[in-house]
Amino acid sequence: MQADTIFPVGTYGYQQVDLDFLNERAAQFRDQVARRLSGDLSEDEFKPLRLMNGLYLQLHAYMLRVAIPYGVLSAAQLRRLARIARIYDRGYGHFTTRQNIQFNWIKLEGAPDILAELAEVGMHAIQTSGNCIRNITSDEFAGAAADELLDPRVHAEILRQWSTLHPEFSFLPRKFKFAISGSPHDRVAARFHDIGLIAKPGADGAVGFEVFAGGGLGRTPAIGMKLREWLPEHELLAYMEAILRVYNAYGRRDNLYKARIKILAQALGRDAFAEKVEAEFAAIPKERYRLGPEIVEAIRARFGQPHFDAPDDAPARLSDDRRRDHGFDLWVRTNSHPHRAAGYISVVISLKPNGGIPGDASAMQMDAIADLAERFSSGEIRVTHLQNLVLGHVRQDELYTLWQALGPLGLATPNRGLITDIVCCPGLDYCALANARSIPISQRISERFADVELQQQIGSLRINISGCINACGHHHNADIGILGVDKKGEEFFQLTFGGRGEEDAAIGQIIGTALPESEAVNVISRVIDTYLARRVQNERFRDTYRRLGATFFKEAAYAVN
Amino acid sequence: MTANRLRDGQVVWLAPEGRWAEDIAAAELFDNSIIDEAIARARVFEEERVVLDVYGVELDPAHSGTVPVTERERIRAAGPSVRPDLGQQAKGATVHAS
Repeated sequence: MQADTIFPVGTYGYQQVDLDFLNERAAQFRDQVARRLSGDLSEDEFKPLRLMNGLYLQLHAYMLRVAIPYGVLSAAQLRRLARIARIYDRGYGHFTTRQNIQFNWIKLEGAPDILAELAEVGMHAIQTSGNCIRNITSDEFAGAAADELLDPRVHAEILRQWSTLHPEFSFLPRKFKFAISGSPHDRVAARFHDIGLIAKPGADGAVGFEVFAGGGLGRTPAIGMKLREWLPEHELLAYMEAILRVYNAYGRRDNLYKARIKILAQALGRDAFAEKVEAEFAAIPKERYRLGPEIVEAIRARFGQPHFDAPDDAPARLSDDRRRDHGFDLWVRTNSHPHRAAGYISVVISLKPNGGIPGDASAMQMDAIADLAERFSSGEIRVTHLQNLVLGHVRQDELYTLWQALGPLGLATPNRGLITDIVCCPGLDYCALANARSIPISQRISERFADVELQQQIGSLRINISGCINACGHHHNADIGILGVDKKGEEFFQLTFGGRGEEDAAIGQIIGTALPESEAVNVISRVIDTYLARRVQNERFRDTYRRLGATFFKEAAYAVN
Repeated sequence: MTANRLRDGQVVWLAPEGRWAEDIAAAELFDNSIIDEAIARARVFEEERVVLDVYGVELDPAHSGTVPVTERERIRAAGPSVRPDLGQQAKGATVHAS
């Protein structure tokens, strides 16, 4: 029997032992909740237990963060998330920058039932909180991208299995985030992670990884240091173990704000940090940690594979559809990505409608997307770290029909990678840590630049918004970053420019004082006007910014007419 | 005096006679001079597993009603400012002051 007849496409097929573990974990949490409600556990005793199961207390209620390993869901899993939104929450969920989903109105009493329902479809909330290795993020075009060297989901799953409940790494100095890309093009912001892995071909044709460590955002943004130009696949786990051991041994535990690995790496410096990692690596028994090809293949075999059977004329039919329908053509131009298989294409479903809340999806939309995924994309959905969804394997001759189905659902906004494709944390509207609301300013910007033709004229431009310095909205690595701050009880917004998350990673620079919401939106408008007036041909915003410099844009931004 | 209800996380406000109300308009008001004592008394409800995270919220003297000074507490009292269909504001009880 072929693997794809056993396992859903794109997701790892759990064995019975995995499913038993999830059920046991859900039952364990049910008992813990009962003990909390009966008084056998105090809140101090219970809080770390609920956090280990992704249950936070936020502004309005408990918030449950559900793990979506490397951002991939089956249609059945997405339907289950829709059901949870409908039955246990208020009819919607919020997709996050870590490719997870959050439900904002959870009752403690209902949480055990939710975990049991998640376990039924192979899902959970493990490692979505706490000082452990968190959900490993990956490329939303994994297994589909034309430029891919390997399917990063296989190695992300290996790292997930290695890290889940790892006894040595369950109580790290602070949380720890991995990103892995199977393509040499960094679509995962690898350089802004505690560990970032980028697939790279070796001299002998074998595929390995470029290894970055010590990157991160938050109050001390840092670009990861390259520790290895090329790490062979079979040494992946041993080397990861070495980095984590160094962090666990030397990372600070006396100061919450200095506990991430980036602080350790900066304190030591790149060379001393790398020396410690290499020394630890040298001491690790290599055979014990060897990731042999047979293990990789065994994991790979539990991922269902799509059948590719597009007709020869699929590309021609797509071209015809684009010529006939301008709106469709605009959408394809931005919201699609080249596929490795002839006649196929990947599609980005924008969760950024004009004036909407970035990353939110209703239960109805989730159900509908699950249906469309089954009809058009092998029943598989990906969550992006930019808070959109992706259907990875769509036949080009069926793309027009898919687009027509997405429109009435409010899911055909043609803005991927454009100025209204805004990344935004929940901010003060939901989050207990936030200093300012982030969603309203994203809505004002979205409304200001709603015109599709204008957006396409502006071209590639990323705006990221965080409601506090913890930077869940990744404001540091956007062309335009917005940080909400509290000034004597008033919301202000600090703008940064020139951030980038890809190969040419850069931390955005503050170019002026923080502004009230309406003025911040006006400043962004002036900056865009300046860019359009001064760009050369089709130069991207980031290139114009780099060419003309921060001072030039600062003067444009803060000019008073 | 505010907290979250243990069983469901609902934002609640200490009302007269030891009742925890969902609408801030029903909250009992305490003078700043007795706030520490009031918080200590309210924490009894944590021990009784009714609520968690009890603390005092400062009200804005510029408003005649029970309107917190900070945006954070106004949002807790009303609901998300971007979803007027959710939270207490959806019941027509409390609305955003800003």
